[in-house]
Amino acid sequence: MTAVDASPPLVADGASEPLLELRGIRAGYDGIDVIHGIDLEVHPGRVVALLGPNGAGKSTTLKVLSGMLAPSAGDVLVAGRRVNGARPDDLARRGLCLIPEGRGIFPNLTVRENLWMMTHRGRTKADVEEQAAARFPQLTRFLDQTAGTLSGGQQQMLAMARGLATDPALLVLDELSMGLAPIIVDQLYETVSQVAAEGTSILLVEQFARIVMDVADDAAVMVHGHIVETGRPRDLEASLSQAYLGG
Amino acid sequence: MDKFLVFTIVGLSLAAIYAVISSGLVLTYTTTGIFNFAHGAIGMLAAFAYWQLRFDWGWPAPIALAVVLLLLAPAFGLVLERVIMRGLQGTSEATKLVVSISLLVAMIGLANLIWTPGESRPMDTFFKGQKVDLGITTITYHQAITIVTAIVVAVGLRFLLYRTRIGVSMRANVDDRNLALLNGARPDRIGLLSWAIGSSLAAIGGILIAPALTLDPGSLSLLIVNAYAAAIFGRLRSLPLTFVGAIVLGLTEGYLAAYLPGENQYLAGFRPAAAAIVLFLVLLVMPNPRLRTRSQLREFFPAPSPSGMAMVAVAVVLAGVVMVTTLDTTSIISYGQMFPLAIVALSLVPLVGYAGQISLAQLSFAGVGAIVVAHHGGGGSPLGLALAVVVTALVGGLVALPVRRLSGIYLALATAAFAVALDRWVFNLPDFDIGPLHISLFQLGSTEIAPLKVFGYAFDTPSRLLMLSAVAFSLTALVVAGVRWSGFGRQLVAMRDSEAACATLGLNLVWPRLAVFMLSAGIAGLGGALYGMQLGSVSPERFNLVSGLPLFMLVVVGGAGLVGGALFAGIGLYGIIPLTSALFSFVAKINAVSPGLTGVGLGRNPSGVIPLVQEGVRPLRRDRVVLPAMAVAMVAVYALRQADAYGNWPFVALLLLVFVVANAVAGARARPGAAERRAAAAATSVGDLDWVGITSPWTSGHLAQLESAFAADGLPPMTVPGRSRAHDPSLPYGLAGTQIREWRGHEATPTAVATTNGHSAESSEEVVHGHARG
Repeated sequence: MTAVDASPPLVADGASEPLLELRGIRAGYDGIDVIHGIDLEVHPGRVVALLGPNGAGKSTTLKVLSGMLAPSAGDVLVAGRRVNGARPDDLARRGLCLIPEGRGIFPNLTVRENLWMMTHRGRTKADVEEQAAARFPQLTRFLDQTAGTLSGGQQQMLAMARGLATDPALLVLDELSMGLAPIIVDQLYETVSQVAAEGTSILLVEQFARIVMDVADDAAVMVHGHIVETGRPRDLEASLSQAYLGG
Repeated sequence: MDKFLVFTIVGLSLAAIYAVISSGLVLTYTTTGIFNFAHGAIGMLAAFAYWQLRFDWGWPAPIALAVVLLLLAPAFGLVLERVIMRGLQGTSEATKLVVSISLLVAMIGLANLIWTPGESRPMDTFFKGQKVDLGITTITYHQAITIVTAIVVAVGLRFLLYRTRIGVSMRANVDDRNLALLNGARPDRIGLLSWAIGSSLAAIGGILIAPALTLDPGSLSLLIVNAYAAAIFGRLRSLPLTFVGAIVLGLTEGYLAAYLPGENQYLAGFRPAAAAIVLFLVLLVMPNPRLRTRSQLREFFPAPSPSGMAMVAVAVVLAGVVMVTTLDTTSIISYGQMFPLAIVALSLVPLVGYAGQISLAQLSFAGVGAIVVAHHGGGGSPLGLALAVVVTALVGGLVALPVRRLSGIYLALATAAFAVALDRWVFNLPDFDIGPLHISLFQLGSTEIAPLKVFGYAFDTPSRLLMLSAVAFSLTALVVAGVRWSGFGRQLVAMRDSEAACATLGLNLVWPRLAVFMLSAGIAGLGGALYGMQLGSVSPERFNLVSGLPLFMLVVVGGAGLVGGALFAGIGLYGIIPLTSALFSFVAKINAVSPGLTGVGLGRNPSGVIPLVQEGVRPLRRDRVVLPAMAVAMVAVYALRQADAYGNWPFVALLLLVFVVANAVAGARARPGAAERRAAAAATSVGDLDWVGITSPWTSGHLAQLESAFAADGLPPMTVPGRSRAHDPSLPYGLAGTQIREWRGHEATPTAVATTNGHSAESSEEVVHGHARG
C-alpha cells in the first residue's frame, strides 16, 4: 500500500469536479472479480444512493473506495486525485469517513473513548465531545458507559456522531438501517438530511431502497457487480423492482 | 510479628516484579491479540545483557540500565513486531502460541550460545545492602525501588491507555482493527509501540528479579508462569486486577517462604509450584469465556488418505528395520528415542490438529505413563502397557474435566500450570498412601522400568525396543487417522471450525472435548511407557514442561492435523538435530536456536511443513514407473550397505540422492509440455466449472466435461443451441442469450435463460447445477 501525498484535505474544485469518482473499477476476492467495471461519481454537496439487492457488490465497492480492498482494475479518484492503493487510515485522516455496516463502534471502549478516536484533523477531545453532544444530545448521558452495552440505535448514533465529528468531506454510510427499528431509522435519516443540508457529500448504500428515496439526490442501481442504471431515485423505481425481483 | 512484616515486604517486592512483568504481557495481549510466551525470556535476555554491561564490563548502573531499558529492549520489541508478530494476523491461537513458544526456545538457546551455561554470574541488588528504616521494620533500597517502579508503571500505563489517543487507539485496535483503520488509527504504529513498551516492562522485571535468583536462562524464562497467574486474575485484560493478582501471588510466596516447614519432604516442592497451582485454580473459577463464533483460520488440514496412511505406516516400520540393521548399539539407543517421543507428539494430532485444543502437558502425561509402567508394569507384561494407557487417559480426563469449558490460550495456560505443578512438586514427592492405594512416583530420583515381554519374547535389546516403538508408532498413527475418518473425528473438526455453530446444531461440546483429551493423554502415556522402556530408568526432568515445549512446537510446525507432523517432530528433535550436531560443532551451536527459529517461521505458513512436502512429492507418489524404480534403487543401496560396500554416511547420502533424483524425474514427467499446457488452459478443469459463466464464457466443451465428471456419458448430450449472443462483448456474461436444453431422461425441453442483464449467469448456473443433480 502507498500513502497518499501529504496534500491538504479533500476539497473538490467547484461543483463541476466530482468529490469521489470511480472509473472502471473491478475488484473481488481470491482473484475472482465480484464487481465488473463500475463507474460512479459523487459531486460536492450531493447525496448519492447506491442501491441493489444482497450480493450485488455494494459493500465491496465501499471497501475499494475506502482503501480496504485494492481494485484489480480501474481508478479511485478523490477530489481529482488518484488514490488507488491508499491506506484506509490515510483516507480517513483526509476526510473520507466510512461508517461500516453492523454498528461501527468499538464495543469495549466507552462512548467518550469512541469519540476520542476521531481526534485527528486538528480536533481536540473537547471539540469532538461537544460536536457529538450537539448532534445527538442523548449520547451525553452515556459518555462513560461501555459502547457495547448501548442499544442498537444508540450504537448507530454513536457511530454517526464519531464519523461526523471531524466534519468529513465525504460521509459514506453502509446499510445504516440494518437491524434497527423503523422509528430509529427515520431519526437517523433525518440527521443524514441535516448533514446533507450543511453541504457534506454523502454516499449511502442501502439494501432497502425505499428508505433513501426521499434523502438521495441521485441513485445508482447495482446488480451482480454492475451498475445497471443511474438517475434520480424516483425515476429508477422500475429498474429497482427488476433488480430486486429479477423481473 | 517481625517475621511477618519482613516477609510481607519480601512478598510485596515480589508482587511488584510480577506486576511489572505481567502488565507488559497484558499490554501486548490486549493490543495485538498475541499471548507472548516468550515475554519472560525477553526479561531473561535483558537481565543477561544488564549483567554483561554492569558487572562484566563494569559500566555505571544508570548507563547500563538506560542502554538495556531504553535502547536494547524496545529495539528488540520493535524487531519482534515487525519481523514476526505482524505476520500472525488471521492465524489460530495454536499457531500464535507456537510462534511465541518457539521464540522462548530460541531465546533460551541464544542465551546459552552467548553466555556459556554453568558459569557463576553474581548479580548484586541495587544499592547493595543499604536499607531504609520504616520504624516497625526495615526495607532494602532494592525492595523500595522495586515497589516504586511497579507503582510508576501502573500509573503510567493507566494514563497511556485511558487518557491518550494512541492508548485508546491501542484498545480500539483489539476491538476491531479494520474499524480502527477507518477511523484513522495507525495499527502498525500501535503494534510497534505495544511491543516496544511490553519488552521494556519485561526487561525491568528481569533485571529486578535476577539478583534474587541465579542467572539461568531456563528458570528466569519460566518466571513467566508466575506472571501468567497474575495476568489471569485480570483475565488478560484488566491491568488493575492484574496488579491485584500480582499482590496475591507475591504475598502467598512470601508467607509460604516464611511459614512452610522446609524440612517436610512433601511440602518442599510446594512453594515453587504455588504460582502454577494458583494459576490453575484461578482458571477454573474464571467466568465462562464466550464460544468462538467464527474461525476463518489460515490453517487447513485435509483428512489423511488410507493409501497415504498405509505408506507412512509401512515406511516407519521399514525405517526401523533399516536402523536396527545398519546402526551400532549406541546409535540405536540414541536415535531409538525418536519413535516413542513421536508417539507423544502423535498424541497432539487429534487434540491440537483435529479439535483445535491446546495442551502443553503432553510430556507430563508421558511421565505418568512411564511411572505406571515402572511400578505396575508386571515385570514387562503387555497388561502393564495397557494399564499405562488407561491410567494416563484417566489422569488426562481428570485434568480435562475441570478445564473442559476452557479453550485456546486459557487451556494452554491451564495445562502448562498442570505440567509445572507436576515438575516442581508432584514428581518429586516421596511415596505416599491414599487409603488402600500406595502411590510411588519417581522415588526422589529415578525409577527402573522392565522391558516388555509378549508370550515369552522379551523386547530387551535396544534393537528390539526400537522395532517395538516403530511398530507401535505405525499402529497408533493408523488409530489417529481412523479417528479422523470417524464421526467423532468430524465432530472434533467441526468443533475446531466453529464452536458456536456446533452448539446451535445441538452438539454437546463437553464430551467430545473430554474424550479427545483422554485419547490424547492415553497416547502420550503409551509413548511415555515405551520411552521409559527404552531408557531403562527414568527421572522426572525427562518429562518437564520445558522439554515438552519443543515437541509441541515442532508438531505444529510439521502440521498439527497430520500424522506426518508428529513424525516430523520426533525425527527432527531426536534424529536430525543430534545427528547434525554430532557432525560439526558449529552446527551444534546453530541447533541451539534452530528449533525455535523453525517455529518462528510458522507464521508465514500456518498449515506447517508437511503439506509443503506432500505437495513436493505428489508427482512421485502418483508415478507408477519412477516410484517402483526408486524403491528398487533404495533396496539395492541398502543391500550394498548390508554387504559392507560402504559405511552409514555414504548410505544415507545415497538414499537421499536416490530420492532427490526420483522426485526430480517424477516432477519432470508430470510437468505438461507447452502444447498440453495450452490445451489444459483451453479446457477448464471440473473444479473451475463453478466459475464458468462468471469468469469465462460457456462452451459446449464445458458441458461435455460436466457430463464426463458426473459419469453421464451414456445419456443424450446437453446442447447449447442459442450461442449467437454468447460472445457478445456488450453483455456481462457469456451465457446471456443462451438457451440450455433442459434434460429429462431422453426428452429434451428447451428452457430460455436470461435476457439483458447479469441474471443470466446465476440462472444458468442454477439450471446446470439442477441438471447435474438431476
